[in-house]
Amino acid sequence: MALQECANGHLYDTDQYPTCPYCSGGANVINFAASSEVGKTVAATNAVIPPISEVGSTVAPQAYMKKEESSADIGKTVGVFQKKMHFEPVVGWLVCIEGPEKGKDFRIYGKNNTVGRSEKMDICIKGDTTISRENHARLAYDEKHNAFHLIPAESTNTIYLNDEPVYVPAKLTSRDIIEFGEGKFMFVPLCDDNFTWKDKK
Amino acid sequence: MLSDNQRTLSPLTGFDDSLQYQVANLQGLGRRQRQEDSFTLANALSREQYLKSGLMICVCDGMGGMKDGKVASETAIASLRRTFSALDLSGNIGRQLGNGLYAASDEVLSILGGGGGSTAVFCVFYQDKLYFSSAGDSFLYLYRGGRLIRLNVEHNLCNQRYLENIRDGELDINGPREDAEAQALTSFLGMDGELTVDYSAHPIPLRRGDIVLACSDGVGGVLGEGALLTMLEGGNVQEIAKDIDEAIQTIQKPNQDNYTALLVSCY
Repeated sequence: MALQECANGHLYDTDQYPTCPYCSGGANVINFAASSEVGKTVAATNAVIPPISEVGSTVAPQAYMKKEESSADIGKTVGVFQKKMHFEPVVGWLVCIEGPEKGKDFRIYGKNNTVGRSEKMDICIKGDTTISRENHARLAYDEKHNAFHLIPAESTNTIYLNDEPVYVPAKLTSRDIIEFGEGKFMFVPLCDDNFTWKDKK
Repeated sequence: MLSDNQRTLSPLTGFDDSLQYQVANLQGLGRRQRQEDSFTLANALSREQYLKSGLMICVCDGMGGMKDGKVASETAIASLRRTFSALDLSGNIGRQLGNGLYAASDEVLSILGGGGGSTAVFCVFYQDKLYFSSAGDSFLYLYRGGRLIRLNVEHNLCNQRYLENIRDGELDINGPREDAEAQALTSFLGMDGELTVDYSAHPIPLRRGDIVLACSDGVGGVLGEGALLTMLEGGNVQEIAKDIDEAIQTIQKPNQDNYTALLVSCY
């Protein structure tokens, strides 16, 4: 065990975690101990490996997630798409089916949509205080492949897709159920195998 | 007045800077969606550092049922870390830790406007003595010589009613305990009202074999003192942390709250 005290004063084993798992708030159960005698400072490894929790939980620290997220910057083609279209077309919706915003729909545009409570967000879910103010997650539409992805961002709360926790970008299919905070949202695509905005200028 | 003879015999005198600390932290989500407990340690891995500046441990339990529990506990932790780094170790440490809770409370209040809050157990180990302050219903225990000693009191309605009853000459403990709001906090960081803070007016001299346990009510309110005592008798903080975790998992309490435990053993 190679113990490290992170900048926020948490002890963790650098053999098991690339960055402090407590700082993410995501880990299910973590338990590390230190002896002042064995506790030499060890540089954190940069290896991107998912940590293995002792109790077999599938929860990964968010710091690990963040590395994935930047490498999977799916929405790169979006600006081009908007330029081509000369307007910002809707490509799908999220519909709240459970929770504080039940019954409300949220438009997904043809780009990398940010999700959060703040009005600065593309998808602004105001009624649920358990959703991060900014960048809770992103919903990306990729015009080239006509595909949608759910990308976890800075939320400290776990996002679920069809009841499974999401730590890395996940591809969305029609009628998937996404859980943000206390709400459940159904994903309803407009662009699918039957329709795209391509060639409709 | 104590005679010289008594003073020499008193366990409350003298300090032994040869004590070393072993520290462990444990945190779990329980059955909650979010982790609203926060904790921090300082100088836990370096004897040189804790001899010079003290070892600090702190547990904050953000209030569930109120919005932004995590914001509250993290804000409190950040504030208390600043208090620790600015400590005057030659002054009254216990009082500074108490004042630190007031400062942290003001910060939480300014951010959440009374809409959220956090408990705190804030401890500093310096020159073989334990100093602490506390607000809310988190737990601080000292294990010594086969006994478990609770060092702080829960600031909740139940305890407040006990005191009121005692003052009024009633000694019925069941009334307050059965109150639906018995567990409601009467003091916490971020409250919009008069905060009650407990702090150690005199430090507790530590001995070899002592173990200090600071934990949120997800631990202290779930595992009885008898169970904790049995686990603490093991002596190795890493093993104790594992035992606590296993015990909580075994009990499988419905609605198990977030749980956090910090352990410091003296050897």
